[in-house]
Order: sequence, then C-alpha cells, then structure tokens
Amino acid sequence: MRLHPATSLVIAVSAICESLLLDAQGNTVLALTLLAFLLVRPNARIMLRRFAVHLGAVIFFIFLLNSLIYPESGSSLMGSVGFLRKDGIQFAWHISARLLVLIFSQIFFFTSADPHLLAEWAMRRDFGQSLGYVFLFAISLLQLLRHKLEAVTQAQQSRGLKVEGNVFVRTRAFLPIIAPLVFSYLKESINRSIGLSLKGFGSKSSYTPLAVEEPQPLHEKFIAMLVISGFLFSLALKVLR
Amino acid sequence: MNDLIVTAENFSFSYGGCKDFALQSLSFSLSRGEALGVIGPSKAGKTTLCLALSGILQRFFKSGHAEGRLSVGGLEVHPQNFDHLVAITGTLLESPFLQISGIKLTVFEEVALTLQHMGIGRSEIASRVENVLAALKIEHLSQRSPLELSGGETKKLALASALVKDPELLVLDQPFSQLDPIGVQRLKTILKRFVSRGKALVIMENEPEHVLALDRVLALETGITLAYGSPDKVLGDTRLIERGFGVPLWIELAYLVKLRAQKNVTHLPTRYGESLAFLRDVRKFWRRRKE
Repeated sequence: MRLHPATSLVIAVSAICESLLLDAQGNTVLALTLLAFLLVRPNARIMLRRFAVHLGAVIFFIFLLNSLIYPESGSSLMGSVGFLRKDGIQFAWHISARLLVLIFSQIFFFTSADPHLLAEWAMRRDFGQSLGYVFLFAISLLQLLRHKLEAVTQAQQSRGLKVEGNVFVRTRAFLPIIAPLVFSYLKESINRSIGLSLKGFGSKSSYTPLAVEEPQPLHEKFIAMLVISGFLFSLALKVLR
Repeated sequence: MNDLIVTAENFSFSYGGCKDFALQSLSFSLSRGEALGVIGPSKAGKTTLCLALSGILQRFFKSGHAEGRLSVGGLEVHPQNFDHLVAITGTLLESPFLQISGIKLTVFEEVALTLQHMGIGRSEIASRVENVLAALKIEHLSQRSPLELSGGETKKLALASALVKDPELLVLDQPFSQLDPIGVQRLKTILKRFVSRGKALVIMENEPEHVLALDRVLALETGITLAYGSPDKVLGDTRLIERGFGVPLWIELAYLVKLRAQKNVTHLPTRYGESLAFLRDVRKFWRRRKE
C-alpha cells in the first residue's frame, strides 16, 4: 500500500529532524521503529538488501575508528589512541544510530510514496516546476548514468578492453571511464535543458498534472499530525532542559 | 490572415567567440501549407538554422551575435517571444536522445509532458497522445521506459513530442536518419498530411533525395546560400554535385553523361523518370553512332 506523498514526506522529514534531537538510545529506538516499517514493505526490503553490505561496512569502520582513536578535549594525539575505548564506542553508537535513521527515513520516503506523484503534488502547490524537476531528475540520474555507462562499456569492449572478470579487473576497467562519463553527462546538460525548453518547460502557462489528485486520507492526516506533535514535544523537552 | 509564417531577411548569426558566421545573409520565406527543405554538407549551418527557427539560438547562445531579421509566426525571434515560439513550433533536434526529459517513466508520459506544460486538459492530453502514437505506429511502446528504446524508436518518440502539439510550424533536423525504409515512408505520409492541413514544415537534411517532393529547397554551404528555389532548380544545379552534396544517383549519372557529351553543363534532370528518359536518349544516340 502506498502512502499519500504528503504523509510520506512528513514522516521522513520528522524522523530526520527528530534524530538531531535524540541521544544514542533514542536514535536506536527510532531506527528500529523505521526498520520495522521497512521490513513489512517488499520494495523497501529489496532496497535494504541493496544497501545492507555498504551500510554495514560504513558502521563497522565508524566503530573501529572511534574505538581506537577518540580525542578528548585537551588530550594529545597519543592520548587519544587506545583499544576499545568506551567513550569512543558510545560516540560511534550515537553516530551510527543517527546515520541509520537518516538512511531508513530516505528509504521509507522513496518506497512509501511514488516520487513522481510527490513531484506533481509539489508542483500543484506552486513549489515551482524547477524544484519538482530537480527532484525527479535526481532520482532518474542514476538510471540515466547506468544507460550511458553500458553504452561506453560496450564501446570499450569492442575496442578490446577487458571489462569482465573479478572485482579488480572490473574496477581497473571502469576507473578510466567514470570521469569522462560524468563530465560528458554534465556537458549534455545544456542539450537536455534545450530539450526541456522545447517541451515548454518554464513557460507561463499553467501545468496540467496527469494523475488525478487523491486527497490525503483522514487516518493518514491523523498519523501526520501525531508525528509532527511528537517532534514538537521532543523539541520542547530539549529546549526546556 | 497573413499566410507567411517564416521570414528571414539577410539573417546572419555567429556563435560567441567565433569570428566566422555560422549563418550568413540568409533570405527566404515560408507560407502556411508549404514545405521547405534545407540541404547541405556537415557544418553548412542546418542545425544552427533549426535552432534559430525554434528560438533556442537566441535564448541559449546569448553570447552569439545576430544580424538581419528572422520572424516566425509574425513575431521577431527573440528571447522575450520564446513562449510564443514554443507554442507554435514543434522541433526535432538532431540527437533525439537529448530530447528525452529523463524524468518520465513511460513513453506516454514523455509525449504528454509537452501538453502538460501548455495547460491543456487531462482528457484532451490523453486523446492527443494516443492519436500521435498511433499515427507513428508506436502505440505498443506506450508503457515502455523512454530510456530503453532503440535509436529509431527514440527518434519516433521525439517526433511524437513535436507533433503532439499540432504546431503551426514543424522544424525537423534530419528526421529520416535512424528510421527504417517503412518508417521513412510512413513519416513522409504524416508530414504530407500535416502540410496539406495548412501547416508549414522545414526539414534539414543531409540527403537531398528526401527533399525532392517538397515545395522549395535551400542549399547551404558554410552558412551561405548556394541555391534557393524549387527542388528541380536547386537539385539540378551542377554546383551541388561539384561540391559533394550527395545528390541522388540518377542525377549524378546524368551529370557524368552530360559532362562527357558537352563541357558546359549547368542544369540536370532531377526526377527519376526524366533522368531515365535522358539516359535512354543517350543510349539510342550511342547505338546510332555505332551503326
């Protein structure tokens, strides 16, 4: 089941803001709650599986580095070095939990609502066409780059470059391609903006959304209100303390 | 109502940082219900003219320098009139892949994007998109991703985006490249129908064969008009062969035969039938001489 774009946006943004207010324990609870929501959604599970290894590696290095080196105020560099430093582990836990909240909120946002509907929803509310396009283009960018990469790889392969094999062979083949690929893409951006202009982008005429706008269901409005209230409550507690 | 839709009077353009003009002193006009073919080798200025007619040149290449007058739909081509130009012209660029917005998930949505920006109603958008996809025989691609199409299909998608507006003026940069022979014939039929409805058409082409059936032809060489007039007049001009314009084989054959027979050849038969009759006469002549 897909959520209304507004509900999805409110939940994701509130979770990210909340993570800035909470301590390590609070962030852990929030991350676990978001994870529970993600695990019940099949498309979110696919995305989680895709990120799991990279995320695990990043968190491992955060713990490793902070448990070995944790500079306290006023201590020398040598004084910061240790083995399984408690304060370092505590800091790594806080950072990792916050990172998980950030990642999980974004996965939640992209998998709980259709990004295209969200962009159209934003455009309907006069957030500006450009903002909507930048948002949609950012989502499509990876796909566009993948297509270009495939074309460049095939061209290189036809010239005799070895692009298949173990990770080392593939990395060695792709490294010289990546920079020209990104630069050629940036160079193409002027042509793409010409193409968009020819389609009337930026004209003064009103924009017609293709999808019929579904009103935000009542129960989702209630959820959104609850999430916002929760965030405001945390903010008030933080200020009062 | 004024029938003239395009008027160019001594129009010249040079890109910023370039001393040479990409287009130099072009003068031509185009009325509603007429089709103009612009031919020329690479660097002749065809794409520049295509961009100028769609208003892109004046909007995106502001460091460039324009002289003379170019008007489309009664208004001067100027960045201030860009919205008007976009509304009345449909443009196909040389590279159709760059005309894909990259933000739409399906071919249907990609074609509809043009109409969405024009503020047309949702039901009309749906019917117009369906009609144009059916006319180009790509309705089966309707729900496919625009990024997963072949070169020819991408070209048809870009064409659909230009045609769906039902513009007053259609400017197409090499529309027949990447299309198969059936696709070329189908597109020619669509364009013929488009012009017969009182609309204007400008086609930039590398292959002069494709402009034989149009009303007028403008031959460009390094931005300068080499010849302008009816297809018979322009394609029959021997300077086109001498400068490597790649005219149809039968015209080139007639040129070679005439060149052998007489030294000062200035004009050639351009139609296939005419050339065939001419070559038959030559054969008869040689047979008689042998006898």
